Amino acid sequence: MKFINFIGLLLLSAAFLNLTSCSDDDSDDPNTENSQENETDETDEDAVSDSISSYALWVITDTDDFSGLLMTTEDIPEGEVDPTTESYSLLGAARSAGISYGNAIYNPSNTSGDVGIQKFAYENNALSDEGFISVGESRFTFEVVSDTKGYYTDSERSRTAIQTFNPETMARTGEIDITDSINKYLTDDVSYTRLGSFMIENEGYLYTQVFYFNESGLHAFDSTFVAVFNVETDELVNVAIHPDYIWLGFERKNPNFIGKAENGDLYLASLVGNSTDQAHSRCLRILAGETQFDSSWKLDYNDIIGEEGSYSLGGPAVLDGKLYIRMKASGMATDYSNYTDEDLYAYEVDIDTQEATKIEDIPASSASSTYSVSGPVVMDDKVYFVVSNSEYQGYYAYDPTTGTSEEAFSFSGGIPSQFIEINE
Amino acid sequence: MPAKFIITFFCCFTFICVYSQSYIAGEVTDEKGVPVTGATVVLTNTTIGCVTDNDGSFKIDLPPVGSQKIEVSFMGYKHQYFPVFIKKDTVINLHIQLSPDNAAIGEIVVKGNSEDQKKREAPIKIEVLNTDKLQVKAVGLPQIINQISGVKIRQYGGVGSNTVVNINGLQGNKIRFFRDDIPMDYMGEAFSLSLVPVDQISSIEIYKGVLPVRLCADALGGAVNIISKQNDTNNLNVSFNYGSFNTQRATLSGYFEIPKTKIFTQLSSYYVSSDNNYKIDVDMADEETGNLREVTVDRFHSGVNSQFGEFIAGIKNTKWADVFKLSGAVFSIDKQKQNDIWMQEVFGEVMYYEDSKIFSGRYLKRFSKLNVDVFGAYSHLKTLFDDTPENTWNWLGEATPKEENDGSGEADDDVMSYRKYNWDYWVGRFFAQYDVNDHLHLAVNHSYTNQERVGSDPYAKTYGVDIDVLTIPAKYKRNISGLGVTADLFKGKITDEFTLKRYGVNTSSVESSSSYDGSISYLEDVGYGFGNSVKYTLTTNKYLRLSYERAIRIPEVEQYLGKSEDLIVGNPALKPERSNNLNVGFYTNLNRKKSIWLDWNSFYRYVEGEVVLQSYYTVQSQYNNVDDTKILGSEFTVKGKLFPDLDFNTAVTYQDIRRVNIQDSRYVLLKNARRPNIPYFFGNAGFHYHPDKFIGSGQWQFSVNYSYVEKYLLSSIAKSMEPDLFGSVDEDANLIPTQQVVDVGTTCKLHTKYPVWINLDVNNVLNAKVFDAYKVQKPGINYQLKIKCLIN
Repeated sequence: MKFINFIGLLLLSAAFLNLTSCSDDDSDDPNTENSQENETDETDEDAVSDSISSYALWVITDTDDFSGLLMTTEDIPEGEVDPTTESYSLLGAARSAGISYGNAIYNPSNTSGDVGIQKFAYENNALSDEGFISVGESRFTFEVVSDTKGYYTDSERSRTAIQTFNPETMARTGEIDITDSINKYLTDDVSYTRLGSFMIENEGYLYTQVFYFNESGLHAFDSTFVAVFNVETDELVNVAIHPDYIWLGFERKNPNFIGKAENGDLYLASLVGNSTDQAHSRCLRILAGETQFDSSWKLDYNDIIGEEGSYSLGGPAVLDGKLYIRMKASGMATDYSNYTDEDLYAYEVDIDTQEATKIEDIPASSASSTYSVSGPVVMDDKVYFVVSNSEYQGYYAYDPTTGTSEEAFSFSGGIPSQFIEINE
Repeated sequence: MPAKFIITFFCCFTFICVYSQSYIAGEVTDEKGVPVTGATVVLTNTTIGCVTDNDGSFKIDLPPVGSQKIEVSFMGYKHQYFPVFIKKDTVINLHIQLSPDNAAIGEIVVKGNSEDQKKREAPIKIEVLNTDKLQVKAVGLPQIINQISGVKIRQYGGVGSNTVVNINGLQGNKIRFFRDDIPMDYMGEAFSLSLVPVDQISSIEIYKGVLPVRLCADALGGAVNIISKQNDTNNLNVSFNYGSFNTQRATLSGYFEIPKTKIFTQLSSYYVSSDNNYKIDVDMADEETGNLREVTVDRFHSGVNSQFGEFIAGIKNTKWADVFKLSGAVFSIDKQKQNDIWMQEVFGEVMYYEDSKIFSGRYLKRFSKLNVDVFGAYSHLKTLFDDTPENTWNWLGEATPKEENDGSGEADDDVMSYRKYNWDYWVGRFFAQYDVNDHLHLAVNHSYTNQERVGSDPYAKTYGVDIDVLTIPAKYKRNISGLGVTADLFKGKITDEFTLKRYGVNTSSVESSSSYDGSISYLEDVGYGFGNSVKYTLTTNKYLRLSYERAIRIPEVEQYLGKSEDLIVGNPALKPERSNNLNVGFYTNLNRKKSIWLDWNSFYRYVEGEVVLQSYYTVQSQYNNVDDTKILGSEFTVKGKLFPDLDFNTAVTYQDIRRVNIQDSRYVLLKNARRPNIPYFFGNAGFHYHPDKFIGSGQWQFSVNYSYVEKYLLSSIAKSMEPDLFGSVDEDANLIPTQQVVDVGTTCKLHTKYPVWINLDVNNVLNAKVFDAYKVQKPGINYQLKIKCLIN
């Protein structure tokens, strides 16, 4: 059997992730109830009790050029949904894992497919163009932390600074340069650096990853570096280091790989890691209000399936002390021979015991389409899992209180790419 | 030296006894006595006339009584004038023999136009574009070819940019290219349609759907065959063209026979250069705010510089060879690349270089009833893709030095590239045709291509493998054989052409750089195809045409075995694309004078298992057979003479290209959706005025061409979301808007005694915003001036 060297896949991910999607959002993260609370706290106190939820769905229709549709709905859909009606057409929709903040959606590309932060105002179940900030590289990540402050990465502007923007005016406002702090770790092996892959705000801190690449395009160190900023002062407060390199998040789709618990703890997951072992999925934790990794907790997905090559395409969502993830039931074969198997299942993992349970009544998906990494989302105390296989496209809702699932809604076609809640 | 005119003019006045009415009839032949089809015969200063039919005959009914002058004209031949006196109830029979016009605007073309006409009238649908009258034009081949119905040459920018040929809805590698019947892969970009000046070729043949046996290739949707210039008298041809955007095209070619020997030599060369710095509208990000604003800028870093030279020496008309020739050619091109296809990224330093040396030999001989054509070639191509920028660039051409720790390229955000390839090609082709009799012909063809590629890239990601996998040879062999039978049945009423082809491929390469373990993957595949074409002659000037082919396209080497440097993983299970191609056509004159003609063609294509690049694992991609494509279309051409000195040509095409047979729920929304980024309705109308006298003693010609392309989609959307075919729609980022372009030009031969021509073309007179491929904008209004001198 041919040996597959997974090392470089980290770098390769860069190329691929250019084509996939989206930014992240933490305080707006629809994956958790807590994020909704944070967001509304920061935006409009009066709106909290009167907030009305609407929903947005991204559907990829053509993987040849990543085009697709963005549709909104006032209620969680039921039955079969035809995304070709009442939808917003997006070029480059595969990049889209948009986030919601206030009554707007922020998408990592505009309708023409230009890369950048596109603000769509949401009103009366309709979207309108509220401004666009162009980003010079196809892979970037962003976050909105208040009505007037947001952050994003743009390696074409700088590989050692993050950019700031005003979501109200949708204009860039400046950058936070951390060159000195990054260069502190430079060695002769480092060929170039980059910031990004994920970006999330939590408890007043903004977190994003720092990469150090060597000439081969591999990460130069077997360590994970995360820059931590104070969003009040816009100052770097720490570079958190975990002694195992993991490519956290999923670039523009990072909301699907970052989960925030009700107590504010952050769970950061990824598909791939260092070059010394076979690619597999892992999850790290940063406790609420902390600027360092929680060294006492780490989840290795190989332990869940009991073999090498664990492969997760979405999650964790966090609810009541449980993580919810989508993962292949068996490890990815080193020659990818089981790559197209439809064995991507929903799992529930106890955070404390790390005991995992396969949710059997949710149909399996195929891992063959990494265009769809729509992660589990928590809405109305239920966890919504995407199901995408050759026969079916839609979402199932899992009720943790009963331990049962049922079909929420299906699509007449297309690949579900993202499902979020909009808070008006 | 003026050509020797051999004119035999028989004028017999024959009185047809009572009851008959007067007419003029006769036959037009070339200098060898072969009937000329399509020659124009008119009474001067009238609109009375006709065009000769298949056997060169013509008839003009009811000419005005009195003294008249008959004018006979045909491309590449001297205009001829004959005085006649028409009496009531008189019949005039003429035999007119044309002679080549070596001093005409067109160059000396031994391969007579009647031969082109024969191809046009073959059972297989072929468009033959004779470039004789276009030799003086300053425009490029794409602009000329785009006047043919059903054909779109699409360019990714200006002069020298990459082109995609679309024939009846199919494009890309479904179309194959030939030069003088030989598959052209071994020539690299030397005969790229956007480069080669019109002076270098004699004609262009466009095969729609079905290929004859002499063109052995795995084309699904047709082929383009470029016919080189063939000479038989000494000549020297020099031309120079200068135009907007510092565009320069120069050609030098000649033919010389060593006196008292059968040895000939020939030179073909061209130089093409352009800055392509035309204006474009782009969205540019504000440096401070990042907000986009549309600005009009001059393109930069879009230039091209190319040279080609070919020397041929040979003998002809000997006992053992009709023609035996050897040739050596060199070619080089430097191309700057400024942008991606979506015009979202600006490159200021990306370069592509190609240098090639090409050697070939050809032997032609007719042994009684057997025609033999043997060809062999070797070429060595060196290519370099250089993406090692020192700066980042904006649309204004402003550079900002890259940060020290920025290892990215411009075309690739992750890594720079300095990718060299050495390509070796060996090509062989044997063709023989046996004429059993005048009505039955048998043909056999075998084409062999062996391609080997070795490369290197010091910046390529190695993924932990201690070797640059590009240094490992990638090999690709293709053997294609064909048998053909052509028969005239029922006294020539029906002409049938049957072909049977075998396609074989043998290839080996590293499958993936991230999975390289020292082993090389091999693959062999074989497929068969067949076709049959029938032409039914209704009357002398009317015929029906019906053709069908079961065609096959063998995947390219990177589609089978991957392209490691681009993270494309091989797929040995990939199946060849197959298609059913059906053409139905009708050709007729539209008026009694036979000066206006209609050529109508409808086509159906069904391509099974389109090969498409899809995502594979997390970061890689792989070619897979996906859904099918169904094409239904129709095209027509109306052309002829409105007046003796005014020609016109109108072509309209509609092609409905749909994705079908989609089973996977992920793509089912696109069931019956249009294939994107391909125009589906387009046409043009052109007029060519060539008065006998205009200003002074010069020979003047004027032309105007209008072309129309209906709006089309950039990206697939569900059929229910498609905009109406015609009419205005709201601005949509997914639409390329309707385009209307007008080109005008004039040509003047300064004096009949001096073989010097001057041509001025003004393209895109309306300065319309024009797109051809994705969002890459083409030039607005531009001017081209050309001077040409032909010495015989």
